[in-house]
Amino acid sequence: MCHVRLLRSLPTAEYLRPLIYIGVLVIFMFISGCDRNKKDELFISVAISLSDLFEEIIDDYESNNNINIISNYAASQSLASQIIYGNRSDLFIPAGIQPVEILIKNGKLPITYSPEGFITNSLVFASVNTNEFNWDTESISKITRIAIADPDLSPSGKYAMESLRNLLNGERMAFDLIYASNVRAALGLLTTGSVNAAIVYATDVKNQNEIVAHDIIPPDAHSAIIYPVVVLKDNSNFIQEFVEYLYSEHVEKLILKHGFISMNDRH
Amino acid sequence: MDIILITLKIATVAILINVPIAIWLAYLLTKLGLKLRFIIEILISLPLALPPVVTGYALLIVLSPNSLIGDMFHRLVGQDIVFTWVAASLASAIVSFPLTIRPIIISFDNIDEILIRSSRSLGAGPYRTFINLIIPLSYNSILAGGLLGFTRALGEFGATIMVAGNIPGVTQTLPLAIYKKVQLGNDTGAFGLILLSLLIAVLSIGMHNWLITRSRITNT
Repeated sequence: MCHVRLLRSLPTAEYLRPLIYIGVLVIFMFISGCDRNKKDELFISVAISLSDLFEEIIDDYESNNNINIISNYAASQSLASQIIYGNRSDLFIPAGIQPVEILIKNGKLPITYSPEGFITNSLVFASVNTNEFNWDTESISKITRIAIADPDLSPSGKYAMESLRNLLNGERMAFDLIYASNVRAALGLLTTGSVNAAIVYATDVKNQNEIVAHDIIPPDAHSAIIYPVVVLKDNSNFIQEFVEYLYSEHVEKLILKHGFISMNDRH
Repeated sequence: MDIILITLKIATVAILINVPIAIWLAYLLTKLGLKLRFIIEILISLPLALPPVVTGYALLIVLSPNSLIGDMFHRLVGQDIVFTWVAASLASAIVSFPLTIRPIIISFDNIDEILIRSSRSLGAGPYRTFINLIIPLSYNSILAGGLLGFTRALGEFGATIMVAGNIPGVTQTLPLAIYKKVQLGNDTGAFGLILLSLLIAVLSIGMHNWLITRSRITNT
């Protein structure tokens, strides 16, 4: 009896339609979220300059192993903050040592830590013109805005600041320095024309020769660019296997293909 | 595409959390005295006035495994809640809550007391009166509030990026994806997503306004 009275006072079926749509949507999204749990999962936080390389590394590794790798790319320091706040990364590969030092200072001790890593890079000064840029005062005076990654958020920004300080030799900067949230965003500012020049990695401009001309910044103008490999969790065998895979020959070929320099070559 | 599914999932869960709580809280507010109601209404409206990044940061502190709640969650589920879609849903829910509850409060306030008293005097208990009288009378407002909250949750950026990050395939919603593409200078990629978000916005607001017009018609 109570049910009948309840039904009579409910809104008419027309009103219920939106609820049905929502119900279908809810079911749909749970279905789409369900199969992730079946495979083993690896969550890696990687410096954004390594993103193209790692997409290939991950594709290759996933096709040979039954594992799902979730990759999270951002400026290295931003990633370190995320990890401090509880980002569930198993592996962390920043573009410098400072993010790791900050992790350790905040109590996130790595399980294994390889400071040299498996890869290195070089810094370039990029611009949109096809003219050659030298480090002479005339070329530099034409530049009004230079984009770099924010030095507080990204090691590439720190390397860029070091380079600028060493190369300008005490002269004041005649240009504005524009901070972007990461090195790829700095390049984005250049390609969209918001700045005349940017200091990014050689690998970021590798496939953009039509738009961007670049000049390599002398490596002694900044500290060595290293990508430490930091393992944060040990609850899966796959982590160590994946790390070992990074030092393999196959990955070395990919490293060269993307314009990086393998650490193995330096020895 | 992944991005659309994730965005819809996060926003839907956000209103599913919000609407029942909003209905309950709005009903509670009608029973409270003026002073208490004033204070609670300020607290409810806070996410509307605060910059979303502040809301996101507050949620990050509360939910991170370094805190009590985050630690409890970690022990229960084995995983951290931050930087997952659940955290993004919670962030969107909090930020859109004031928008969801407002129409419901107004609607509850406008229900004639006489109707409620009649219902009670005819023998219906408070629960029955609520389900059979108050909810059907406010149905339009509840839907409108839910829709407004849903629209807001779809577009939430600051709080989401703080507590859930911008992780493709996991927490990258439509606004976050557009942001990333624009940052990288990928204007063409961003354009498609921008058109999509425009379409969703127009549909949502259209439905919302249609509901409001409809309730105007039924009330005159």
